[in-house]
Amino acid sequence: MTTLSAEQSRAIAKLYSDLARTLSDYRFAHWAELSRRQRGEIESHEWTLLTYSSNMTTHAIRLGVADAGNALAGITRATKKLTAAARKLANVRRAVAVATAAVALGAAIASGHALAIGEAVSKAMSVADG
Amino acid sequence: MRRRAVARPSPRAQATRLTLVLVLLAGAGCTSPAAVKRYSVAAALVTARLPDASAALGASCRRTQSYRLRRASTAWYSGDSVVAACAGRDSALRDVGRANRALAAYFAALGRLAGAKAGEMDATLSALGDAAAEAGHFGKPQGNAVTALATFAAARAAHGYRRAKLREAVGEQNANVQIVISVLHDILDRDFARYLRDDETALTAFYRAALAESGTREPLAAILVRDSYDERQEELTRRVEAVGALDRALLVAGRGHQRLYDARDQLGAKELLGSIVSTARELDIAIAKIDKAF
Repeated sequence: MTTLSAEQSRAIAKLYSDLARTLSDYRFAHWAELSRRQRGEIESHEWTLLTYSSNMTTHAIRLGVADAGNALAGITRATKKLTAAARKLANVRRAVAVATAAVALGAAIASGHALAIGEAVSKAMSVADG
Repeated sequence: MRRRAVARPSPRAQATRLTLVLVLLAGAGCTSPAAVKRYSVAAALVTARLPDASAALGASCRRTQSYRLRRASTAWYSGDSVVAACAGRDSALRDVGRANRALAAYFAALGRLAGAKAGEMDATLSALGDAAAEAGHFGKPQGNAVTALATFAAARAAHGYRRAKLREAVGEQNANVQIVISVLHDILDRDFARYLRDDETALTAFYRAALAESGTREPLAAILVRDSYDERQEELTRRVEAVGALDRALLVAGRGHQRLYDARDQLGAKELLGSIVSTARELDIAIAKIDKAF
């Protein structure tokens, strides 16, 4: 397992925090257009993203990958793209897709598993690209 | 006849009195380690504020987690659920507390050395370094620095001091002081700030959802909810300011120690005395800001 530096972990934590905040802004901006179930789904993802942000701040991220630099670059790129996508969501389906992809990526990072991270990064990039 | 109890002056009052003495000494051109003592008192007061900030961060986490649990379900939740959800942050705060305790013990030991006083041995100090070395955001150099400060403080507390050792102490420990202050600065400036920002996001989401869901149906309740939100928001803002002030104060303490180090061969020089008194005053102002925020 490669342990990311505190600085690197903090950078990813900040991206997750921003993502949670952006989704929250979307939920309230489109409150009337969303069904109760959709609001609940997005909100649940927001709480999970905030938990990831807090955990990444507290504990340095550990990745079970051969090339930690490459994995970190992929995670950073995918999270940034998801945040950018969350800032210009066209509809609720896309909001849920972005939130779900972010949560899946966060879970993969928490697991530190190379294959899971690779798949989650690819999925996140694909969702962010729309 | 019973004697009337005499109130002990507060640490800040003592510090102010010491400043006056120092200014008089500087005017008279005396050489004195009193500047180091004045600095140590002020720096120790800064480290004494960090536990308050940590406690506030812990309380903030528990409140945020209670919001999460309340939004997830209307079912009753136990306090254990909240404590368990904050275990990670609490653990990180304990690590910070250990590093800060070593720093505080060092400043206290330095102050006693400057005052040529012996102190009491704190047997738990030596364990601080080992604990810090195992902490997530403390690498080996940071853990070693905590160990060195704690060991220094424990040894000096046991054996007492000689003024002649002051220069040696400042020279030996400056690098460790700078490392520990640097890691505490990173944690306060980034991690504590991140925690509070995330807590603010959670707070806003919680109250805003409550208002959006029932605000129009129950306008009076909505007013109370909004008032409650405003109070919590103000409290969080004060905590952010307090953490910022504490961070800045620690950096001033670090710069002050660096000045002592740079001038360690002339610890009684008039220029140094003036500079350290000015640092101590800066620290007093920062402490007042922290106290106001809490």
